[in-house]
Amino acid sequence: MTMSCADVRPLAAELALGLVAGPERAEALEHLDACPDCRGHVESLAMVGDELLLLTPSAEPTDGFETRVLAQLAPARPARPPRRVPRWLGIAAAVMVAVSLAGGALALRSGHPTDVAEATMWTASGKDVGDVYLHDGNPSWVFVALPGWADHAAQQPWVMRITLKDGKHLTLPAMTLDRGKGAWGSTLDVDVGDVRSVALLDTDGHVWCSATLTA
Amino acid sequence: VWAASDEALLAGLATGDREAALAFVRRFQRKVFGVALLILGDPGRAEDVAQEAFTRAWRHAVTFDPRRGSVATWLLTITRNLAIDAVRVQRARPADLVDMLDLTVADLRPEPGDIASRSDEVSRVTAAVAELPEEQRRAVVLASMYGRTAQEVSELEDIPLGTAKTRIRTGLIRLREALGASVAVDER
Repeated sequence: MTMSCADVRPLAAELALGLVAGPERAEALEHLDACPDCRGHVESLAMVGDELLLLTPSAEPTDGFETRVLAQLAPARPARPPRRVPRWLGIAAAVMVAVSLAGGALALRSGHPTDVAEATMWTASGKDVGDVYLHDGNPSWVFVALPGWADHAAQQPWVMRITLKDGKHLTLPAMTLDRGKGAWGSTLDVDVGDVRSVALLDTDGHVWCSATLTA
Repeated sequence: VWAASDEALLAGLATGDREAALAFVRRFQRKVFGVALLILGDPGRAEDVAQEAFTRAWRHAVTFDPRRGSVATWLLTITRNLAIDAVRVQRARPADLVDMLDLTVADLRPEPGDIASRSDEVSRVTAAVAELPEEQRRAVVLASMYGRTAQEVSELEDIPLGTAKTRIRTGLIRLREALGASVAVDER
C-alpha cells in the first residue's frame, strides 16, 4: 500500500532519525521519492537530528582502538614473519623478576620460559616498534622490548597500561626508555589469559604503541 | 596534518594517506565511540560499531556534502545509523537509562578540548535545546541521541504513544526553527 502525505507526516520525525524500520520504512521512502514537500520536510528534520549528535558525551575507547581502525583501513599491510622468542628473553626476564620481587628471594625455576605469549607493538601510524611477551607462570610477568622505538620517545617517563578482557585496566609503574632502545618488565598479578592488550602511554595519557593479544 | 581542517583530513583519509587517517581517527574517536555507547550501552559492541563507522567514512568519503552539514555531523550520523541497526539485531539496552538521560539533559554543553567545541555549532545547538520545554527535550534527546523509537519513549516516559510522537516531532520542528533550517514545511 502506498502512503499518502497524511500517513507520512506523523512519521517524519522518526524517519528523520532513522528510527522507522521494515515495511513501514519502505512504504514511507516510496512516498518520499514521489513527494518533494514531504521529502524536504524529512530532510530538514534529519539535519536537525544530525546536529544534535554533536551534544553526545564523548567516551574513551579501549587502548589500541585507533591502531585497530587503521589496520582495518589498510588490510593489505604486509604481515611480519613470526619471530621466535629471543633466547635472551628468558634470562632477562628471570633477572627482571628476581630484582623486582622483594629482597630478590624468589628466582625463576628456569631461565628459558616455554609458555610465552607474544604480540607486536604497533604505533598508531602502523609502525612495528617491538614486541610484548607475557609469561603465564608463578609469578606471571610481562616484558616489553622496543628496539625500534623512536628517539623522541626517550625523554619522558612512560606508563604501561594492561587492559583486561573485562575492560579493567592495570597501570604499571613508570618506565624510562633509553634513547629509543627500551626493555622493561614487571610481574603480573593476573592470569595472562585475561590480558586483552598492552599499551605504552606518555605522561599525557596518549597511547604511543600497543599490542592486542589474540586467543 | 594534525592542525588540518576536518574536511582536509577526510580528503586525506579518502586518498589513503596514513597520517591523515590517523589524525582523523584520533580527532573523532571519542565522539564516535560516545555516540555508539550511548545507543548501545555496551562498550564492546559500541567499539565494534565505532570501528565500522570509520571504515564506512573511509569508503564513502567522496559522498560527503559540506552543504548538508559538517564532517562531524556526517560521521556521527553514520555512527548513529550503524548503532541503531545493531540494536535492531540484538536489543540489549542499558538498565540505568533514566539516570544517564538525566545526566545528559542536564549537561548539554560543549566539552573543553573536544572536536565540536572548536566551532560555535555546539553552542548554538545547546542553546536551542535548552529552550525546549522539559518534556519535549527529554523526548528529543531519547530519540535523537539514544536512538529510542517513539514506542520506547512512550514506555520510558510512561505516556501514550501519540503523545511521545508529538513531543518528538514538535521538539524537532522547534529546533529546526531555532537553528534556522530553511526548508518550508508543514507545521502540523
